Amino acid sequence: MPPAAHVASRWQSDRDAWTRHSTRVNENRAYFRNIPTPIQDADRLRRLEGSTEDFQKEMAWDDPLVMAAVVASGEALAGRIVGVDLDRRIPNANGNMVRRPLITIEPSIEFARPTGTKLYLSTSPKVMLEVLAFDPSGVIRAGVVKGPPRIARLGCCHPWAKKSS
Amino acid sequence: MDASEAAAAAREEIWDTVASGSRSTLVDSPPGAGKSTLVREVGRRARRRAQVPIVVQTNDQADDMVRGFIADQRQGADPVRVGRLHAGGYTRPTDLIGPDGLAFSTSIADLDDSQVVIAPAAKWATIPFNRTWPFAILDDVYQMRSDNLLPIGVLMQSLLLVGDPGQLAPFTPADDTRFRGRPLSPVETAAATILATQPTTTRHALPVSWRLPSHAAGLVSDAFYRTPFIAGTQPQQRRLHRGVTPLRASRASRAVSSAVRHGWAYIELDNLPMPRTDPEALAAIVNVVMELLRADITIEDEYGTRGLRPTDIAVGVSHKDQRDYIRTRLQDSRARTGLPVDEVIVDTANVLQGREFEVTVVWHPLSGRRDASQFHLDAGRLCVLLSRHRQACIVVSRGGIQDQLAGHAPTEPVWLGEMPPALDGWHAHLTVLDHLMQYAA
Repeated sequence: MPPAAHVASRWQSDRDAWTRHSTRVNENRAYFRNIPTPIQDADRLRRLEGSTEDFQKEMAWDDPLVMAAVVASGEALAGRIVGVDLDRRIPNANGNMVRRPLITIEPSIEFARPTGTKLYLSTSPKVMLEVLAFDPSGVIRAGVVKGPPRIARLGCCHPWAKKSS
Repeated sequence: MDASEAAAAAREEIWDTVASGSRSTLVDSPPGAGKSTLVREVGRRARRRAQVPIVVQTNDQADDMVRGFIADQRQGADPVRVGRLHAGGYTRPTDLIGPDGLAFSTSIADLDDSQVVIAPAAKWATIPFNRTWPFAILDDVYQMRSDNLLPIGVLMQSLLLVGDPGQLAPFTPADDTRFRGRPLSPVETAAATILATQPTTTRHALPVSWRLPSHAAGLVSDAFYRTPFIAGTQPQQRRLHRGVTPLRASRASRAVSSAVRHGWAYIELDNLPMPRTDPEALAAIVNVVMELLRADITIEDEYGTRGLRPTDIAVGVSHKDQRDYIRTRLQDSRARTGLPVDEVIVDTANVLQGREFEVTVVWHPLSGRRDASQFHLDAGRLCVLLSRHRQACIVVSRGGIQDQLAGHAPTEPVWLGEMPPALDGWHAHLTVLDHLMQYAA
């Protein structure tokens, strides 16, 4: 079975952590508390929360079966791009016109999420989109809210709704 | 002593404790007891000595606190120079652009001129340790996690902590096994941490709920609170009047009539295990919301008489997918019928905490489930959902909840070293159900 796309980055971060640990052992700095201080606990909890969330997203992005389950539950949107307006410009908070591309998606199953739902592109997770006004025809119109402006790769994506509770 | 005298006496007593230099003072407040008013009043009094930081939990709460100071000023209170400290990506709400004495910045150094500085805990955590303040106010300490208190506590020499102990406790989506049962665990509430580290903390309680009507305060107090409280209004002060009588009596219209008459209504659907986004419960809630708007309801309360607007109504749910399904259905109904049902506020209990509405429609957390998991049994979740209204509350649920409660033993592990929850979810749920059964539509 081929390794999933995010395995390499997780393996790299595991190796980095092991290198840091080995360095401490070699330099005789590897002390461990039996009872961590509250600050160490808080730091560990923050890291644990970050990696738990990243891992859940990566599993869905890597594994079509996991993604299918989240699409079926309505937490993610999968569909066909039927329109892209790369030159759409809207005013930002300071009133300047900024480029915020718009994509129109025909969902593969009904996507019952309201206006304002945030979506992340599975192929490029730094791109965040926001679902625009409800369209009775069933197509979803989503405007890019942030992310790199070059989104020529938009043609092959499942936007992935941020995981719900 | 009447309710307003009792509340004023409690506020004076709290200020006396703060002014006497107590290192930490904890105020337990029932829903709608004037927690924010207390925070603003103490902030206004304490600013005469030094700048007062106010720590809240979210940006929305911080903006609401700023609005509270502006509203106080319009009603004749002394002007206060308010600073709003925020993170980089924050967009200032349009209604907060313009008022005098209001400063916004991402850096505390720009706000030296402000007498009161308001920001969420996450932003206060970025302040360097070389800054300190003699006194600070922490709001919603029962919803604040202990690890958020760590970087802040060191900045402040004395604290007033205010919170509602009956509501939802903070949680973590990560596996917290290694942190449970430990002294000063990061998943504990900030209030518990302060009580553990500062045993001399003075505790006070606010005795009156101004939000809950008299027919709801007793139930919420009995089911969810150890320190009892009373309603600040008399039964005849709060009333609903129905303008339109429906031609055909449906379950939704009967529920709305019961809510208008008694302040409570309960819609019990067939006893069936269902997925979280139960379509029948969804339809029942949407019908009730539409009926509430069609009924042309007039609200009568201590401030006067006015019509019920869509934004006076909230739908409270337990899960984000339930929220999204209801919002979508309401947007759809607006497109079909033209009724402004999509302006109704729909959100999860976590988000509705601290907010108030005239009428609430509640999707019962145990509805349609086979089991009674800790998440759904959490007394805090039910308490939040049943304590947001000033006039009436309509609960929608699948039947068979008594059987669920009777048939499922608790499955949560017991953590050595951790205090058992102050409230029994089983008992709270049964008390509430017994009460609701009288108003079944």
